[in-house]
Formats: sequence, C-alpha cells, structure tokens
Amino acid sequence: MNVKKIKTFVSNNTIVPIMVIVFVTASIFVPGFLSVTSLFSIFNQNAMKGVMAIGMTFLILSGYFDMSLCTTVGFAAALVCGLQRSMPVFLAVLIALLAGIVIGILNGIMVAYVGINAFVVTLAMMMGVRGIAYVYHKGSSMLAVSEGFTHFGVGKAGLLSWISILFIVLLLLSHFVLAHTPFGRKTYAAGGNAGAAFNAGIDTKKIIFTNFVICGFGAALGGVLYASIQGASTPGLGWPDMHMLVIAAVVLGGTKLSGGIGNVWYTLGGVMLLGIIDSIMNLLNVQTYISTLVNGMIMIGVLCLDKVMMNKQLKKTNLAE
Amino acid sequence: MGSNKAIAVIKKQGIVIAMVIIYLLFAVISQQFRTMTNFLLIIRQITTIGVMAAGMTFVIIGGNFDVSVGSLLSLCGVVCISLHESMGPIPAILITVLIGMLSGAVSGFLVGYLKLNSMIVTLGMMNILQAVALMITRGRNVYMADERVWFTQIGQGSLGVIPISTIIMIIFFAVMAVILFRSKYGHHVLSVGGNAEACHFSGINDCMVILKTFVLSGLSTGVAAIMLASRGAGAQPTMGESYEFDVITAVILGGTSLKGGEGNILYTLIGVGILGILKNGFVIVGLPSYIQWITQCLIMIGAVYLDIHSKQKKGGRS
Amino acid sequence: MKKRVIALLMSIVMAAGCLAGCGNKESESSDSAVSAGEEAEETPSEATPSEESNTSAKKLKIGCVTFNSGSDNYQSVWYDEIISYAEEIGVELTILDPAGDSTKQQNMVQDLINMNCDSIIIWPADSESGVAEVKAVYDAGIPVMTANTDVAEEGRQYSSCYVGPSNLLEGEAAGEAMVELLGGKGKIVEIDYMPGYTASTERSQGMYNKIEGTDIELLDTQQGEANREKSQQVMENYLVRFAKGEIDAVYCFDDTTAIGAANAIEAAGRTEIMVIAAASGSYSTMDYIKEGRISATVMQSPIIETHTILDTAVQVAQGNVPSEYATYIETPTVTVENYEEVADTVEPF
Repeated sequence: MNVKKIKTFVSNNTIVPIMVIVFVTASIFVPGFLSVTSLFSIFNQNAMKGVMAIGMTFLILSGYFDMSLCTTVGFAAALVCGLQRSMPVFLAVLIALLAGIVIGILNGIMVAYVGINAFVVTLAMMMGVRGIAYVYHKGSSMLAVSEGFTHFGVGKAGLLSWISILFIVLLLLSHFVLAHTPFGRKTYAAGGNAGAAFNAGIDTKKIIFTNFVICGFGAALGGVLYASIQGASTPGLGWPDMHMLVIAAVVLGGTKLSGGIGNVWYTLGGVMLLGIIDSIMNLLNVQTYISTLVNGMIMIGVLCLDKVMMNKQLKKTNLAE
Repeated sequence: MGSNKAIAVIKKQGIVIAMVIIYLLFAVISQQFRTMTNFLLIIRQITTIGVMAAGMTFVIIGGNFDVSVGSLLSLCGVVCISLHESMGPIPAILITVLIGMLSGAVSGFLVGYLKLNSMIVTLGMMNILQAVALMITRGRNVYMADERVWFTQIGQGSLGVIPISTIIMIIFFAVMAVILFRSKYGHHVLSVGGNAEACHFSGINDCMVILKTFVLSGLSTGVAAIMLASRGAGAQPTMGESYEFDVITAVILGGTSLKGGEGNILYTLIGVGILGILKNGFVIVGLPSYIQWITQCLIMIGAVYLDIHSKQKKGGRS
Repeated sequence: MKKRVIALLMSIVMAAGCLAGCGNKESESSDSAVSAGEEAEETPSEATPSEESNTSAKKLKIGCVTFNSGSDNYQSVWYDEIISYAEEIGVELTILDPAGDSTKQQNMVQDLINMNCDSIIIWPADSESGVAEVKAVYDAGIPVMTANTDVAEEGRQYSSCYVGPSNLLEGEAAGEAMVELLGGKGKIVEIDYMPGYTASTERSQGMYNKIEGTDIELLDTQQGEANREKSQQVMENYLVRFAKGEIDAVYCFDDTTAIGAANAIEAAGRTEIMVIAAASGSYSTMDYIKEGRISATVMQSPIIETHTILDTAVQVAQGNVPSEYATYIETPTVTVENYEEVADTVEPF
C-alpha cells in the first residue's frame, strides 16, 4: 500500500481520520458503545437528519445555504399529522412534501432570480413559515392517527430501520446524481466559480433554484420522517436551530461552505460523527451542559483540524499564502 | 450617475420613512399605542437589542456573522449579577465587559486569523458560552439580594422621562458611529469587508481588523447584558436565548449589506426601532405572535429587495 | 507555520477538554447529597420498603429523561435532587436531558433502553410525542412511568403510572384563590408559558373552570415563556394597553412569570393589580407572598416530587405497580391570609 496515497487521502478527506479516532476512543473508553445494538441505534436515530443533510449538501455544493429548514421541518410534520385524519396517509405525505417544494421554490426564486441575499431570504422565510405553520397547528401537538404511518417510523428490517434504508437509498441516488449526471457537474461548477460557470454557458440561476427546491424537499421529507418515528408532530420541532445542526453536519463532513467541494459521503460522515458524539454523551451519563460544551468544542476543533490539513495540502502544491 | 445616487439616498431614507409609516399605522389603530407612556416603553425595550446590534453591524460589515451573542448575553448577565453580589457593582461591570470582549477575541481570532467560517465558529461558541453559563450557575437563576442600589437604576431608572438605558444606548451608538465613520479603524473595516485580499496587500492587517469587529460585538453584548440584568435585578442562564435572530434582523433592516463592505450604524438604529415598534405594536393591538412572524418575514424581504433595487448592478451577482 | 501550530494545539486542547469534561457528575451529586439527606428524613415517606429490599438485591438501574433542566430554577433543583436522592437510596440513576427537544428525548429513551435499565422515568417534552416514547419502552419489556407531565391519553396504556403534580388541580386551586380575592368579579389578564405545553394548558384550564359563572372577565392571554424578563415585558405591554382600573389581577403560569409581572407592576406603580402564580417551584416565592407582592400561589416542591417519583420507579422496577394510575403530590395553596399556617407545614426547598 502506497503510504503517500493514504496520506493524501487522509488529508483530503479529514472526516475519515476524525471518525476513526473518535470511534476507536469511544470503543475503548465508553462502556456500551461497541455493541451491535448501540451502533445500529446511532445510525437509525440519525437517519432523519441524514436525509435533510443530503438536501442541504446539494445546496451548499452550489454555494448557498438554507436557514428556513428548521421551520419547514415542523410545518411538514404538522401537515402530515393533521391531514392524515381526513385523507389517506399517502396523500397527506404528498402534500407535506409539496409544501417543502413550494418553500424551496420561493427561496430559489428570491435568491437565484431576484438576487436577494440567501441569508436574508431564508431567515425571513424561516419566520414566515413558522407563522404559517402556527396558523395551521395553532400551537398544539398532533398525534399521527394512521397506524401504517407510525409503523413505518418505528419498523425495522433486521437491525436497520425503514427510515435508515430510505436514507441509504437516497445516499446512493444523490451520489449518482452528483457524480454522474450533468446536473451534478453543473452544481459543482456553479458552486466552485459561478462567474466561470456562467461564462461556460451554464444556466447557474436554474441550477441554484433547483438546489433550493431539493433542499426544501429534503427538509419536508425530514419532517415527515420525524412525525412518523415520533408518532406525532410538535409545534417546536426543528426550532430553534435544526438548520444550524444540519449545516454543521455537512460542513464538518468536509463539504466547503463556499461551494464546489464535497459530496454526500462526507455528509454521511458528518451526520454520524455528531450522532456518535451525542450517543457517547448519553452513555457516559454526562450532565447536559458538558454535552453542549463538547459539541461546541468539536465544531471549532474540527474546523481547525480541517484548516491545518488544508494548509498542509496547499503548501505542498505551493498555493498557500 | 447623479440620479442613481439620488435614488440611493432616497431609498436609504426609505428605511426611516418606513419606520415612521409603521409607527403611524399602529398609532392610528390603537389609542394605547400612541401614548407617551408607550413611546417611552418602546425606547426602553429596544435598548438591549439596540446596543447588541451596534456591535453586530461591525461584524457584518466585515463580512461575517456572530450567532453567539445570545449565549454571551446570558453568560454576561449571570456573571454580572453574581459578581455584583460578591464584589460590588464596579468590578461586576468591568469584568462583565471584559468577558464580552474576551469571547469576542476568541471568535475573532478563529475567524480573522485562522480564517474559519464565522457561522460555524460562532455556532460552536454559542454552545460553549451557554454551557459555561449553565455550569457556573448550576442551572439556577441568580438574583440581587437588595434591589435598592444604584446599579438597578441603569436598567430601571430615568432622567426626567427618558430612561437611562435609552441614553446609554444613544451614547453607545454615537461612539460606534464615530468609530465607523471617523476613525482609521472604521475605514479599515469598510475596506476589509469589501475586499480583504486587496487590503492585505496594501498593508492593512485584515486579520486584526476582523478580530476587532468581533471584540466590538462582544463588548456591546457585555454592555447590553449589564443593562438587562440591572433591569430585572437578576439573570437567568438562558435569558439571551434566540436574541441573535433579532439582532441580525435589525442590522439587516438597517440596510447593512451582507456581502460586507458597507453599512451605517445609524441605520442599524432605525432597524432596531422598526423591530421594537413591531414587537410592541403587535402586543398592544393584541395580534397573535404568528402574525408578527409573517409580517417580520415580509418586511425583511421587502427591505432588502428595495435595497437591491437601489444599487447599481456591479456586473454579475449582487 | 505559527498559525498551524496554534490550530493544532487548539484541536488537541478541545479533545482533551472533551475527555476531561466527562465524569463531573459523580463529584457534584455527592456534594448535594449531604444537604438533601437531612431534609429527606422529615419528608413523609411511603416507600420505606425500597430501602430494605435494596440492601439485599443488586443495585437497581433506573433510567430517566427530563425535559429541560437548564431552562428554569424548578427543573434544575429537580435534576440535582433526583440525582442526590438516588445516591441516598442506593439506586444507580442514569439521567439524560434533551434540553426541551422531543427528537433528542426520543433518542435518549432509545439509549436508555439499550442500557437495559430496570425501569425508566419519562418527563415528556411533549405529551403527544411522548406516546411513542412510552410505547417503545413498553415494547422493549421495561416498566415505564411518566413524571411531572403525563403523556396523552393514548400513551397511558403503556405507562405503569404517573407521579407528579396535577396541573389541572393546581390551576383550579390558584383560580379559586383568585376568585375569592377578587370577590367574584373583575377583569384579569393571563401570562402563560408557551403554546402547546400541556402543563400550561392544564393550569389555564383549571383557572377557566373556576372563573366560569363568576363576574370575572379574561381580557387576554400572552406568552411569558417562564422567562422573567419576557414576562416583565408582556406585563408592561398589558399595562399600557389597559389603563389604570382596567386590570384587577394577572394570572401567571408560574412564579418566574409572576415575579416578572410583579416587577413590571411595581415599576409602573400599579400595585392595585393582584398577581397570582398558578404554581411555584421556588421556596423563595413564599417571601413574595409574605410581602404581598404575589397574592396567591400553589407551592410545588421539587423535593417531594422527585422523592416520590424515584420511590415509585423503584417499586415499579420490582413489579409493584401502584393501584391508582396517577399519584398526585401534595401542593398547598398559599395566600397572604393563610401564609402563617402554611409556612409551618411547607418544607424549604
């Protein structure tokens, strides 16, 4: 095995060594971590976030991010729970997903076509969707009455939950789209250098618009899945910072916030890393604020590490300042 | 060129006009709203977010975000009250401000020198600061034993009819405005926000400039915490939760561009004013909170849309 | 070069900090156990059998998820108290806090199941989403009970029992005290917690039950989020909206809300308005009652609550399910009038 190749791989994909270190450390020091139940549990618990993170990955790759995810999640969950009382479940699911698509369309139009700053648009939409969601659920939680719906949420095939399987399918699908389709290539191009992409004849506006729609869809799907596994929708779902956690998971995985670099496997790593840390905190029975402290330190620590790795890499190719 | 500049000026004044219109709207709808008591209430209620927004303006002009200010507010608040009880008001005030600046310096170093992404860094700081606040108070609220001390006058007292905290806020804004428009540092911030690399090559220490913006944000938060804690004669370790949204909203409403490189402290004050009027107005008129959120959404988008339209397109995306 | 070294050092410090941070819990709980021990002696305990059976059997492992222990005084006292009481009665307690997030709570419940607890206590972050949580524990064959806030109706078939205050009864008691103080007529405003939180809805409902049929009119309800500062702002806005003489009393979700309201009232010089707190989790509120700043409240002791909960959890783990589903802890009403008598019976907490 070529040592240099491994070294390059490791410094290019920092999430891998980080995961390995955390995994090994946890296996040694945390009782109960290295068990099949526990590990699959972690995967199953984080699959919902993973689904949303896939959508966010598309958007971040094209150079933007979506703050309205946190309230879109709650809105979709409320819709799917409330509507299934008066119509077949699959219709309720469809409408909930449609809501996410519409939110994505609105975001996409305002950012890509009108040219308003994404932070403002998605922050404003976050508030707006929160308001509209309240008009619908009036601040109350709703039980999901359809048994089929809730069985899907808690059901498993062996050790993997149905939701996890859906997550894996979506991972493979999005990998294919990003790596092997023109749309994927254009997304990377638009994120990497929008000006150059535009000059090369790519309709960057359409690409960015589509990615906002994908992100909105992902958020809504996440909401539906949360409603399914929780058996209910709560008015506070997603609030106040689910979007930050999803963005953090994507960025920690290695996808650059400025766009153009990254992939869904990085995101898988980022989501699972945060999930593993959460689980470790639970298994160690630490006080909540220790857990919060650690989360904060990890976020900063991983960024530092990533910077160190990147600088080393750039130095090698003489591109660092 | 001349007419475009004129349009820009009018659009800028547009924010002020918008604020006046919103105020009049509420005043017409509700009799209680247009009383002097309510006006004084509004100008007192906006002081916390106002002071924080003054510092945040610098950060945003520099092209970054600081979402840790809410947790920092909580931490400074509990530290302030705890120290007031154990050490006295003056050390409490000094150390609180110092802690605000220190937190800002850490964020500023990570963003300015290590060039890490400000959103994620300050998100991490937010977690850390909140955890520290909970740790040192063990989750409990801290209260002043005796409220009849001069310290509570900061938040509760008035000079004539004008609340002292409002006076502090106005002085604070004035000082910040001078720093931004008249000092060398202020010019540096505006330049760095616009094009950091160019500044770097012209000899400006862009790293330090950015670091200082975060220190200013931390400083403002410290001051705001003192006023808030003084007002309630106590502090909860989570009292600053979600403040960062409103603070950033206020700065954006004030017209500071998120691309960095331009902004106006005084217009941030207008943004703060609009937000304060909305919050107060909705409660007075008796509208449920979700209407407020939807309105806030529409106003923000509207404000930035107008702002975009008033600028000349500089080739490519704005 | 220098930057990289600093960055590397920071990463190492972060990692070290993480590992060093763990393991804090044991030292803290042993400190508070000493002080709690004295109080526990005086609290009437119906669960003495548990102490005897523990010495012979293996240490029981009890799991617990709370709601949001960092968010207010009552919850943080609750949290510390249940940990120290667990130490005292010799039970191994794993306690997790989801900071109010129902999805985190669900994950934590799953982790507790994986840890093979003998029984699990759940303080649901949301009564509706709590149903899936109790069901999951039930399906895993572990006895589960709810604490402080109950799950929705659908979930009670899975839960062995509920231990905690009856928010409805508290609301009714506080409401009744308010009706008496107002002489059956007047105008009131309400400051509740947050939309959708069951404890809040029930405390409000209790009050509505009592003002029905009287000449008392509820003018408006706004959220105070159990945050002193926010409640103060809400009350200030009310004071502007309703001129002098238009409000006779304000009904608050809890003591934190009431203190915020009281501050606003005093600052504006409108002390003719009575402040009622539906439930108080802080002993210091008794002082407010004594001084007349709060007119009536219902005392809810986190010490009594946590002790009863844990004792029941031990019983449930051993297969002894209480005959009644709900065990309501005692919550005495305190007003300016009966302050003297109640002050003798209420234990400090």
